[in-house]
Amino acid sequence: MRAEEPLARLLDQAVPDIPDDLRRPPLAGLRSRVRRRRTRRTVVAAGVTLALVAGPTLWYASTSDRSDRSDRSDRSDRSDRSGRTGSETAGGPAVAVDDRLTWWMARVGRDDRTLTVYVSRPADGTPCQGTWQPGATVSPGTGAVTIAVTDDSPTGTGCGDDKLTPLRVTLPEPLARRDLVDAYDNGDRPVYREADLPEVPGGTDGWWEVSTTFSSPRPADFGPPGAWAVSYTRPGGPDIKIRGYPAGHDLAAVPEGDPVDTVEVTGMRGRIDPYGGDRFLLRWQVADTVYLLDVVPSEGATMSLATFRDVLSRIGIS
Amino acid sequence: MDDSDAVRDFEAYVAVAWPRLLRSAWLLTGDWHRAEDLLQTVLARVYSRWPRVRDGVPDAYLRAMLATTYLNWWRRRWRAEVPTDRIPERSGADPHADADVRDVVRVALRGLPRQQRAVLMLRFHADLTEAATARTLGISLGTVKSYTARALAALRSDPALRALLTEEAQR
Repeated sequence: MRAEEPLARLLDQAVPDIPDDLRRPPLAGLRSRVRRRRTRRTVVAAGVTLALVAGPTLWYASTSDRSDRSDRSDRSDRSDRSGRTGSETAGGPAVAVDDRLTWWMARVGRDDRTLTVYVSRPADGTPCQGTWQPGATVSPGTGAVTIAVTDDSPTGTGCGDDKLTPLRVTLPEPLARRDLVDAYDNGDRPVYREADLPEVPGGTDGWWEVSTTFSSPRPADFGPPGAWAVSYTRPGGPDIKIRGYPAGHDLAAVPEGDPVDTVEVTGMRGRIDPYGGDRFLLRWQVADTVYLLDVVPSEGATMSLATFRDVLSRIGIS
Repeated sequence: MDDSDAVRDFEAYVAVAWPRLLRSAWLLTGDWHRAEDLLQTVLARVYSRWPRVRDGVPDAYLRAMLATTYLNWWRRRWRAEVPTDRIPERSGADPHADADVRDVVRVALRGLPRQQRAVLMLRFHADLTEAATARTLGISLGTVKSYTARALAALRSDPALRALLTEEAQR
């Protein structure tokens, strides 16, 4: 017997029984994915065609325009680039660098139109040479909204540091429950919606949001998949921290055992479980996103279940 | 074969192959829903090139795509991270306590780097040779051997799994 045969058999045995709801192939969902892929490819092909056709024309027009109007001759590259459109980006012969950027997740405001996407230079993108100035182009669709982010810096090869750069994007219409797709790789991205979160009151007795930064991808990462977080603080505490994870993330698993309590959060059932020995964690799920809410006591203070529930009631969770 | 024939043929194949491919995807992701998402993504990509794929060895082709797509996902899709102060506690402290083979292997697999998991899936579940695994993942033969050796060493470092592997080898 080859040494690896036992392992092959163990691997086979190790796979759990397929859940009932996944036993049959989702052919309808698969057809829908195929249609979406075809649509995107058609759109990309049309964009490339447009760029090939329009690029030289735009370049010719811009050079002619400059020769006619001397007051434009001293314009910097930066002002030229900041005014360009998505199709222009891919077009003119003067653009010799790949200035596409990628983004990793999105926060959707309560108005359902204001987004924050978290941007970085792609792992295989152009090396950093300049400043950082991302700009977005939105392409709404029926099932998904595609967002293309490009680097509008003067050199066209800008880069961020080791943190993701938040970029505000305003949609022409509410997102509703559509997916968000990064045009860089046509991949769906995790979407964290403020409407799925409790409203933390502000004002003198309330909390204010603390700015959160997220790490950029690093070649040596073996860490957990991407996640999002928002934190609130107030003098004397306690602080409130909400994390969002794509369902299936290791840190978003349903805790084993029974919860110590259950509550309703934005219309969804949430469960409260002990956390870290002296705290509690509220977990709820909306579609493919899991949220975890942690109340962080001020230094030296403890967090009983009653105190945790009291904080939850102050932010509308009961 | 016209388009409608190709579609029918492809869907007939998917209907039969779905469970075994889903199991391969689970070995990579360790989660059924991510496995389903991964497999659907791969099937959607293969759909348009089915007439060419069907003339080869579709299962091997799809498992290779599962591995490369899985690794590509990790690079491109899920790499943003948020600093976490503590990992949520899980009750039931000892994952080996019930000595169930699935749990033991699952926990051990989750501890492996993603490239080693991909190599294990291709070598021992898809039954690819070392050379084919190297070609599929775009790495050298030596790297495949190294990943395999490291993965096996990691698995054998778990006392429960070492016992299971020994028990299996003695059958």
